[in-house]
Amino acid sequence: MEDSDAAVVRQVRAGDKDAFRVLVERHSHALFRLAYRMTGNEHDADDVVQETFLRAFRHLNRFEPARSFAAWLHRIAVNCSINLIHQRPPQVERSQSYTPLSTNTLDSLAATTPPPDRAAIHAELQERVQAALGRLSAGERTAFVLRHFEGESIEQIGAVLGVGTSAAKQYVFRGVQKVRRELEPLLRPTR
Amino acid sequence: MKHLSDEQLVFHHYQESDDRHSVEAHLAGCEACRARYQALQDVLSAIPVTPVPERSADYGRQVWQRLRPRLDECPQSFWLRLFERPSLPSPPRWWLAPAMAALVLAAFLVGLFWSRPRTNDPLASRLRQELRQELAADFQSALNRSQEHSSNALAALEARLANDSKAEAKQLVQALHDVLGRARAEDRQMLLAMFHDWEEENAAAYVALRQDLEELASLTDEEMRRARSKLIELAAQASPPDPPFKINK
Repeated sequence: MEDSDAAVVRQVRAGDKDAFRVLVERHSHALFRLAYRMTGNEHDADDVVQETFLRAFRHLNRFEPARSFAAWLHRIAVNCSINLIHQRPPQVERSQSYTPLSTNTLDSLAATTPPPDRAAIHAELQERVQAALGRLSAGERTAFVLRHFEGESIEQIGAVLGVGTSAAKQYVFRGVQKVRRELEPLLRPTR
Repeated sequence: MKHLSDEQLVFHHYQESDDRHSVEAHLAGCEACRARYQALQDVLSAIPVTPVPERSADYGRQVWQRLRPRLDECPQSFWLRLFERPSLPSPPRWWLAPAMAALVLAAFLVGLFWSRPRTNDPLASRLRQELRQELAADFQSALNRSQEHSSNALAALEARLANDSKAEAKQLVQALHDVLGRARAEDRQMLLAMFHDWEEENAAAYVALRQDLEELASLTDEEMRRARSKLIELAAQASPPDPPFKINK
Protein backbone atom coordinates (compact mmCIF):
# COMPACT_ATOMS: atom_id res chain seq x y z
CA MET A 1 0.00 0.00 0.00
CA GLU A 2 1.32 3.44 -0.94
CA ASP A 3 2.25 5.66 1.99
CA SER A 4 0.45 8.98 2.31
CA ASP A 5 2.41 12.20 1.89
CA ALA A 6 2.11 12.89 5.61
CA ALA A 7 3.51 9.45 6.48
CA VAL A 8 6.50 9.97 4.18
CA VAL A 9 7.07 13.42 5.63
CA ARG A 10 7.23 11.84 9.11
CA GLN A 11 9.86 9.39 7.86
CA VAL A 12 11.97 12.19 6.40
CA ARG A 13 11.61 14.26 9.55
CA ALA A 14 12.85 11.25 11.50
CA GLY A 15 16.09 11.41 9.53
CA ASP A 16 15.41 9.16 6.54
CA LYS A 17 16.48 11.50 3.74
CA ASP A 18 16.02 8.84 1.07
CA ALA A 19 12.31 8.63 1.88
CA PHE A 20 12.06 12.09 0.33
CA ARG A 21 12.48 10.36 -3.03
CA VAL A 22 8.87 9.14 -2.82
CA LEU A 23 7.62 12.72 -2.59
CA VAL A 24 9.89 13.87 -5.41
CA GLU A 25 8.74 11.14 -7.76
CA ARG A 26 5.11 11.62 -6.80
CA HIS A 27 4.93 15.39 -7.33
CA SER A 28 7.56 16.24 -9.97
CA HIS A 29 5.26 16.16 -12.99
CA ALA A 30 2.57 18.34 -11.42
CA LEU A 31 5.19 20.80 -10.21
CA PHE A 32 6.73 20.99 -13.66
CA ARG A 33 3.34 21.78 -15.20
CA LEU A 34 2.71 24.56 -12.71
CA ALA A 35 6.24 25.95 -13.03
CA TYR A 36 6.00 25.91 -16.81
CA ARG A 37 2.68 27.75 -16.75
CA MET A 38 4.11 30.29 -14.35
CA THR A 39 7.43 30.90 -16.10
CA GLY A 40 6.53 30.05 -19.69
CA ASN A 41 9.95 28.50 -20.11
CA GLU A 42 10.92 24.84 -20.07
CA HIS A 43 14.39 25.21 -18.54
CA ASP A 44 13.19 27.68 -15.94
CA ALA A 45 10.45 25.23 -15.01
CA ASP A 46 13.04 22.47 -14.47
CA ASP A 47 15.04 24.79 -12.22
CA VAL A 48 11.92 25.72 -10.29
CA VAL A 49 11.13 22.03 -9.68
CA GLN A 50 14.62 21.43 -8.27
CA GLU A 51 14.57 24.53 -6.12
CA THR A 52 11.08 23.75 -4.83
CA PHE A 53 12.05 20.31 -3.57
CA LEU A 54 15.23 21.65 -2.02
CA ARG A 55 13.35 24.36 -0.13
CA ALA A 56 10.66 21.90 0.90
CA PHE A 57 13.30 19.59 2.36
CA ARG A 58 15.01 22.41 4.22
CA HIS A 59 11.77 23.68 5.73
CA LEU A 60 9.95 20.40 6.21
CA ASN A 61 9.49 21.24 9.90
CA ARG A 62 7.18 24.09 8.86
CA PHE A 63 4.78 21.79 7.07
CA GLU A 64 1.62 21.06 9.04
CA PRO A 65 0.71 17.40 8.46
CA ALA A 66 -3.00 18.18 8.76
CA ARG A 67 -2.81 20.20 5.54
CA SER A 68 -2.25 19.15 1.94
CA PHE A 69 1.39 18.49 1.15
CA ALA A 70 0.72 19.06 -2.57
CA ALA A 71 -0.76 22.50 -1.91
CA TRP A 72 2.20 23.37 0.34
CA LEU A 73 4.61 22.22 -2.36
CA HIS A 74 2.75 24.19 -5.05
CA ARG A 75 2.94 27.27 -2.89
CA ILE A 76 6.72 26.93 -2.69
CA ALA A 77 6.86 26.38 -6.45
CA VAL A 78 4.82 29.54 -7.04
CA ASN A 79 7.22 31.52 -4.84
CA CYS A 80 10.24 30.07 -6.65
CA SER A 81 8.66 30.92 -10.01
CA ILE A 82 7.90 34.48 -8.93
CA ASN A 83 11.48 34.91 -7.68
CA LEU A 84 12.81 33.62 -10.95
CA ILE A 85 10.53 35.90 -12.97
CA HIS A 86 11.67 38.90 -10.92
CA GLN A 87 15.30 38.03 -11.63
CA ARG A 88 14.69 38.28 -15.37
CA PRO A 89 15.57 41.50 -17.17
CA PRO A 90 12.50 43.72 -17.58
CA GLN A 91 10.56 43.21 -20.80
CA VAL A 92 10.05 45.94 -23.34
CA GLU A 93 6.62 47.56 -22.87
CA ARG A 94 4.45 46.46 -25.77
CA SER A 95 0.92 47.14 -24.63
CA GLN A 96 0.60 50.36 -26.63
CA SER A 97 2.05 48.89 -29.81
CA TYR A 98 -0.41 46.01 -30.24
CA THR A 99 -1.64 45.65 -33.79
CA PRO A 100 -5.24 44.45 -33.84
CA LEU A 101 -5.68 41.14 -35.60
CA SER A 102 -7.88 41.21 -38.69
CA THR A 103 -11.29 39.54 -38.90
CA ASN A 104 -9.76 36.90 -41.13
CA THR A 105 -7.19 36.16 -38.45
CA LEU A 106 -9.86 35.85 -35.79
CA ASP A 107 -11.85 33.59 -38.08
CA SER A 108 -8.79 31.47 -38.63
CA LEU A 109 -8.29 31.18 -34.87
CA ALA A 110 -11.81 29.88 -34.53
CA ALA A 111 -11.59 27.58 -37.50
CA THR A 112 -11.47 23.88 -36.88
CA THR A 113 -9.10 23.28 -39.77
CA PRO A 114 -5.88 25.23 -39.19
CA PRO A 115 -4.68 27.29 -42.11
CA PRO A 116 -0.92 27.30 -42.78
CA ASP A 117 -0.28 30.55 -40.84
CA ARG A 118 -2.38 29.58 -37.82
CA ALA A 119 0.61 28.33 -35.85
CA ALA A 120 2.34 31.65 -36.34
CA ILE A 121 -0.72 33.57 -35.14
CA HIS A 122 -0.94 31.34 -32.10
CA ALA A 123 2.71 31.93 -31.38
CA GLU A 124 2.23 35.69 -31.54
CA LEU A 125 -0.85 35.55 -29.36
CA GLN A 126 0.98 33.32 -26.92
CA GLU A 127 3.81 35.81 -26.70
CA ARG A 128 1.37 38.62 -26.00
CA VAL A 129 -0.43 36.57 -23.37
CA GLN A 130 2.89 35.93 -21.63
CA ALA A 131 3.61 39.66 -21.74
CA ALA A 132 0.16 40.34 -20.26
CA LEU A 133 0.77 37.76 -17.53
CA GLY A 134 4.10 39.39 -16.79
CA ARG A 135 2.28 42.57 -15.87
CA LEU A 136 0.06 40.86 -13.28
CA SER A 137 0.94 40.78 -9.61
CA ALA A 138 2.30 37.51 -8.22
CA GLY A 139 -1.06 36.57 -6.68
CA GLU A 140 -3.06 37.51 -9.77
CA ARG A 141 -0.73 35.63 -12.07
CA THR A 142 -0.79 32.51 -9.91
CA ALA A 143 -4.55 32.60 -9.55
CA PHE A 144 -5.10 33.18 -13.26
CA VAL A 145 -2.70 30.43 -14.31
CA LEU A 146 -4.17 27.92 -11.88
CA ARG A 147 -7.77 28.76 -12.81
CA HIS A 148 -7.52 29.35 -16.53
CA PHE A 149 -4.84 26.89 -17.61
CA GLU A 150 -4.90 24.25 -14.92
CA GLY A 151 -8.62 24.36 -14.12
CA GLU A 152 -7.98 24.37 -10.38
CA SER A 153 -10.92 25.17 -8.11
CA ILE A 154 -11.11 28.36 -6.10
CA GLU A 155 -10.50 26.36 -2.90
CA GLN A 156 -7.34 24.82 -4.34
CA ILE A 157 -6.11 28.21 -5.52
CA GLY A 158 -6.74 29.60 -2.05
CA ALA A 159 -4.73 26.74 -0.53
CA VAL A 160 -1.79 27.41 -2.85
CA LEU A 161 -1.89 31.16 -2.21
CA GLY A 162 -2.50 30.68 1.49
CA VAL A 163 -5.67 32.78 1.44
CA GLY A 164 -9.39 32.19 1.85
CA THR A 165 -11.82 31.56 -0.99
CA SER A 166 -13.02 35.18 -1.13
CA ALA A 167 -9.48 36.49 -1.55
CA ALA A 168 -8.69 33.74 -4.07
CA LYS A 169 -11.75 34.77 -6.08
CA GLN A 170 -10.62 38.37 -6.07
CA TYR A 171 -7.18 37.35 -7.35
CA VAL A 172 -8.75 35.36 -10.18
CA PHE A 173 -11.14 38.16 -11.07
CA ARG A 174 -8.48 40.87 -11.08
CA GLY A 175 -6.18 38.65 -13.15
CA VAL A 176 -8.90 38.01 -15.73
CA GLN A 177 -9.80 41.68 -15.94
CA LYS A 178 -6.20 42.73 -16.51
CA VAL A 179 -5.50 40.05 -19.11
CA ARG A 180 -8.72 41.00 -20.81
CA ARG A 181 -7.79 44.67 -20.94
CA GLU A 182 -4.44 43.71 -22.45
CA LEU A 183 -5.86 41.41 -25.11
CA GLU A 184 -9.12 43.12 -26.10
CA PRO A 185 -7.45 45.79 -28.24
CA LEU A 186 -5.53 43.05 -29.96
CA LEU A 187 -8.61 40.96 -30.67
CA ARG A 188 -10.86 43.82 -31.76
CA PRO A 189 -11.73 42.99 -35.40
CA THR A 190 -10.57 45.31 -38.21
CA ARG A 191 -12.14 45.14 -41.67
CA MET B 1 -33.43 45.81 -14.16
CA LYS B 2 -30.16 45.10 -12.42
CA HIS B 3 -27.47 43.81 -14.79
CA LEU B 4 -24.91 41.17 -13.98
CA SER B 5 -21.55 42.33 -12.69
CA ASP B 6 -18.28 41.53 -14.46
CA GLU B 7 -17.37 39.30 -11.53
CA GLN B 8 -20.57 37.27 -11.94
CA LEU B 9 -19.84 36.84 -15.65
CA VAL B 10 -16.23 35.77 -15.05
CA PHE B 11 -17.15 33.14 -12.49
CA HIS B 12 -20.07 31.97 -14.59
CA HIS B 13 -17.58 31.38 -17.40
CA TYR B 14 -15.36 29.34 -15.07
CA GLN B 15 -18.39 27.49 -13.66
CA GLU B 16 -17.63 28.82 -10.19
CA SER B 17 -20.80 30.88 -9.91
CA ASP B 18 -22.64 30.79 -6.61
CA ASP B 19 -26.00 31.36 -8.31
CA ARG B 20 -25.62 29.65 -11.69
CA HIS B 21 -29.35 29.27 -12.39
CA SER B 22 -30.21 32.91 -11.77
CA VAL B 23 -27.26 34.05 -13.93
CA GLU B 24 -28.39 31.78 -16.76
CA ALA B 25 -31.96 33.05 -16.42
CA HIS B 26 -30.76 36.64 -16.53
CA LEU B 27 -28.55 36.03 -19.57
CA ALA B 28 -31.48 34.43 -21.39
CA GLY B 29 -33.56 37.56 -20.94
CA CYS B 30 -30.98 40.37 -21.11
CA GLU B 31 -29.38 41.15 -24.44
CA ALA B 32 -26.87 43.65 -22.99
CA CYS B 33 -25.50 41.15 -20.47
CA ARG B 34 -25.49 38.43 -23.12
CA ALA B 35 -23.32 40.64 -25.35
CA ARG B 36 -20.94 41.39 -22.48
CA TYR B 37 -20.71 37.71 -21.65
CA GLN B 38 -19.99 36.88 -25.28
CA ALA B 39 -17.22 39.48 -25.41
CA LEU B 40 -15.65 38.00 -22.28
CA GLN B 41 -15.82 34.51 -23.71
CA ASP B 42 -14.26 35.67 -26.98
CA VAL B 43 -11.20 36.99 -25.15
CA LEU B 44 -10.79 34.10 -22.76
CA SER B 45 -11.27 31.46 -25.43
CA ALA B 46 -8.76 33.21 -27.70
CA ILE B 47 -6.00 32.71 -25.14
CA PRO B 48 -4.02 29.84 -26.59
CA VAL B 49 -3.48 26.97 -24.25
CA THR B 50 -0.08 25.83 -25.34
CA PRO B 51 0.69 22.27 -24.37
CA VAL B 52 3.12 21.79 -21.53
CA PRO B 53 6.32 20.14 -22.84
CA GLU B 54 6.30 16.44 -22.19
CA ARG B 55 8.42 15.01 -19.44
CA SER B 56 9.35 11.35 -19.51
CA ALA B 57 7.81 8.89 -17.11
CA ASP B 58 11.03 8.76 -15.10
CA TYR B 59 11.21 12.55 -14.75
CA GLY B 60 10.74 12.21 -11.00
CA ARG B 61 13.72 9.86 -10.82
CA GLN B 62 15.83 12.34 -12.79
CA VAL B 63 14.85 15.15 -10.46
CA TRP B 64 15.73 12.96 -7.48
CA GLN B 65 19.16 12.07 -8.89
CA ARG B 66 20.04 15.72 -9.27
CA LEU B 67 18.54 16.61 -5.92
CA ARG B 68 19.94 13.84 -3.68
CA PRO B 69 23.55 15.12 -3.40
CA ARG B 70 22.25 18.58 -2.49
CA LEU B 71 20.19 17.24 0.41
CA ASP B 72 23.37 16.29 2.29
CA GLU B 73 24.47 19.90 2.08
CA CYS B 74 21.42 21.16 3.93
CA PRO B 75 21.17 19.87 7.50
CA GLN B 76 17.72 19.74 9.01
CA SER B 77 17.09 21.86 12.05
CA PHE B 78 18.30 20.73 15.49
CA TRP B 79 14.80 20.72 16.98
CA LEU B 80 13.41 18.70 14.12
CA ARG B 81 16.04 16.02 14.59
CA LEU B 82 15.66 16.07 18.35
CA PHE B 83 11.91 15.59 18.42
CA GLU B 84 11.33 13.44 15.36
CA ARG B 85 14.12 10.87 15.57
CA PRO B 86 12.37 7.63 16.57
CA SER B 87 15.58 5.81 17.42
CA LEU B 88 16.52 8.31 20.09
CA PRO B 89 18.42 6.26 22.69
CA SER B 90 17.30 6.01 26.29
CA PRO B 91 16.33 7.97 28.31
CA PRO B 92 13.08 8.21 26.35
CA ARG B 93 11.74 11.46 24.99
CA TRP B 94 9.47 12.13 28.00
CA TRP B 95 12.52 13.44 29.87
CA LEU B 96 12.44 16.45 27.58
CA ALA B 97 9.32 17.92 29.20
CA PRO B 98 10.63 18.13 32.80
CA ALA B 99 14.06 19.10 31.50
CA MET B 100 12.56 21.99 29.55
CA ALA B 101 10.44 22.99 32.57
CA ALA B 102 13.53 22.98 34.80
CA LEU B 103 15.38 25.05 32.22
CA VAL B 104 12.55 27.59 32.04
CA LEU B 105 12.36 27.76 35.86
CA ALA B 106 16.12 28.25 36.13
CA ALA B 107 15.98 31.00 33.53
CA PHE B 108 13.11 32.64 35.42
CA LEU B 109 14.98 32.56 38.74
CA VAL B 110 18.17 33.85 37.18
CA GLY B 111 16.19 36.65 35.55
CA LEU B 112 14.41 37.41 38.79
CA PHE B 113 17.57 37.90 40.81
CA TRP B 114 19.73 39.19 37.99
CA SER B 115 17.30 41.96 37.17
CA ARG B 116 17.00 43.06 40.79
CA PRO B 117 20.45 44.15 41.89
CA ARG B 118 21.09 45.18 45.49
CA THR B 119 21.13 48.89 45.66
CA ASN B 120 23.32 51.04 47.85
CA ASP B 121 20.78 53.80 47.71
CA PRO B 122 20.66 55.62 51.13
CA LEU B 123 16.84 55.68 51.16
CA ALA B 124 16.67 51.91 50.66
CA SER B 125 19.21 51.32 53.43
CA ARG B 126 17.28 53.57 55.79
CA LEU B 127 13.97 51.83 55.04
CA ARG B 128 15.55 48.43 55.52
CA GLN B 129 17.01 49.50 58.87
CA GLU B 130 13.65 50.88 60.05
CA LEU B 131 11.88 47.72 59.04
CA ARG B 132 14.40 45.60 60.93
CA GLN B 133 14.00 47.74 64.06
CA GLU B 134 10.21 47.55 63.93
CA LEU B 135 10.26 43.79 63.58
CA ALA B 136 12.70 43.44 66.49
CA ALA B 137 10.56 45.71 68.69
CA ASP B 138 7.40 43.72 67.88
CA PHE B 139 9.16 40.47 68.71
CA GLN B 140 10.45 41.79 72.02
CA SER B 141 7.04 43.14 72.97
CA ALA B 142 5.31 39.84 72.25
CA LEU B 143 7.95 37.95 74.22
CA ASN B 144 7.53 40.29 77.18
CA ARG B 145 3.74 39.83 77.13
CA SER B 146 4.13 36.06 77.10
CA GLN B 147 6.60 36.07 79.97
CA GLU B 148 4.40 38.39 81.98
CA HIS B 149 1.38 36.13 81.46
CA SER B 150 3.24 33.02 82.67
CA SER B 151 4.81 34.82 85.62
CA ASN B 152 1.43 36.10 86.83
CA ALA B 153 -0.07 32.62 86.68
CA LEU B 154 2.83 31.13 88.65
CA ALA B 155 2.71 33.84 91.30
CA ALA B 156 -1.01 33.25 91.84
CA LEU B 157 -0.46 29.53 92.31
CA GLU B 158 2.43 30.01 94.67
CA ALA B 159 0.23 32.25 96.83
CA ARG B 160 -2.59 29.67 96.90
CA LEU B 161 -0.14 26.83 97.75
CA ALA B 162 1.18 28.74 100.73
CA ASN B 163 -2.32 29.20 102.19
CA ASP B 164 -4.06 25.90 101.41
CA SER B 165 -3.74 22.53 103.15
CA LYS B 166 -1.62 19.59 102.02
CA ALA B 167 -4.72 17.66 100.86
CA GLU B 168 -5.33 20.19 98.29
CA ALA B 169 -1.69 20.23 97.18
CA LYS B 170 -2.22 17.49 94.59
CA GLN B 171 -5.11 19.36 93.01
CA LEU B 172 -3.09 22.50 93.01
CA VAL B 173 -0.17 20.78 91.29
CA GLN B 174 -2.57 19.52 88.66
CA ALA B 175 -4.02 22.98 88.29
CA LEU B 176 -0.52 24.35 87.97
CA HIS B 177 0.17 21.85 85.23
CA ASP B 178 -3.01 22.81 83.39
CA VAL B 179 -2.32 26.49 83.69
CA LEU B 180 1.20 26.06 82.38
CA GLY B 181 -0.12 23.93 79.50
CA ARG B 182 -2.69 26.55 78.58
CA ALA B 183 -0.07 29.26 78.87
CA ARG B 184 2.23 27.36 76.53
CA ALA B 185 -0.62 26.82 74.05
CA GLU B 186 -1.57 30.48 74.21
CA ASP B 187 2.03 31.49 73.80
CA ARG B 188 2.36 29.24 70.77
CA GLN B 189 -0.78 30.67 69.22
CA MET B 190 0.32 34.17 69.98
CA LEU B 191 3.73 33.60 68.43
CA LEU B 192 2.16 32.11 65.31
CA ALA B 193 -0.15 35.10 65.00
CA MET B 194 2.79 37.39 65.55
CA PHE B 195 4.79 35.73 62.79
CA HIS B 196 1.78 35.96 60.50
CA ASP B 197 1.56 39.68 61.22
CA TRP B 198 5.28 40.08 60.59
CA GLU B 199 4.93 38.27 57.31
CA GLU B 200 2.17 40.63 56.18
CA GLU B 201 3.99 43.67 57.41
CA ASN B 202 7.13 42.51 55.69
CA ALA B 203 5.30 42.15 52.35
CA ALA B 204 3.65 45.53 52.80
CA ALA B 205 6.98 47.07 53.72
CA TYR B 206 8.57 45.52 50.66
CA VAL B 207 5.85 46.94 48.39
CA ALA B 208 6.25 50.33 50.04
CA LEU B 209 10.00 50.06 49.59
CA ARG B 210 9.59 49.30 45.86
CA GLN B 211 7.24 52.25 45.47
CA ASP B 212 9.67 54.52 47.25
CA LEU B 213 12.50 53.34 45.04
CA GLU B 214 10.49 53.85 41.87
CA GLU B 215 9.48 57.30 43.04
CA LEU B 216 13.09 58.06 43.78
CA ALA B 217 14.10 56.84 40.30
CA SER B 218 11.45 59.00 38.64
CA LEU B 219 12.53 61.97 40.75
CA THR B 220 16.11 61.34 39.72
CA ASP B 221 15.05 61.23 36.08
CA GLU B 222 13.13 64.45 36.51
CA GLU B 223 16.14 66.08 38.10
CA MET B 224 18.32 64.84 35.25
CA ARG B 225 15.95 66.34 32.71
CA ARG B 226 15.87 69.61 34.58
CA ALA B 227 19.64 69.67 34.83
CA ARG B 228 19.91 68.91 31.09
CA SER B 229 17.49 71.72 30.25
CA LYS B 230 19.47 74.03 32.51
CA LEU B 231 22.70 73.07 30.79
CA ILE B 232 21.13 73.68 27.38
CA GLU B 233 19.93 77.09 28.53
CA LEU B 234 23.36 77.93 29.88
CA ALA B 235 24.99 76.73 26.68
CA ALA B 236 22.61 78.85 24.63
CA GLN B 237 23.38 81.91 26.72
CA ALA B 238 27.13 81.33 26.49
CA SER B 239 27.11 80.63 22.74
CA PRO B 240 27.66 83.22 19.98
CA PRO B 241 24.51 84.43 18.12
CA ASP B 242 24.92 81.91 15.23
CA PRO B 243 26.20 78.65 16.61
CA PRO B 244 27.82 76.30 14.11
CA PHE B 245 25.68 73.38 15.30
CA LYS B 246 22.23 72.66 16.70
CA ILE B 247 21.52 71.15 20.08
CA ASN B 248 18.76 68.60 19.91
CA LYS B 249 16.38 69.01 22.81
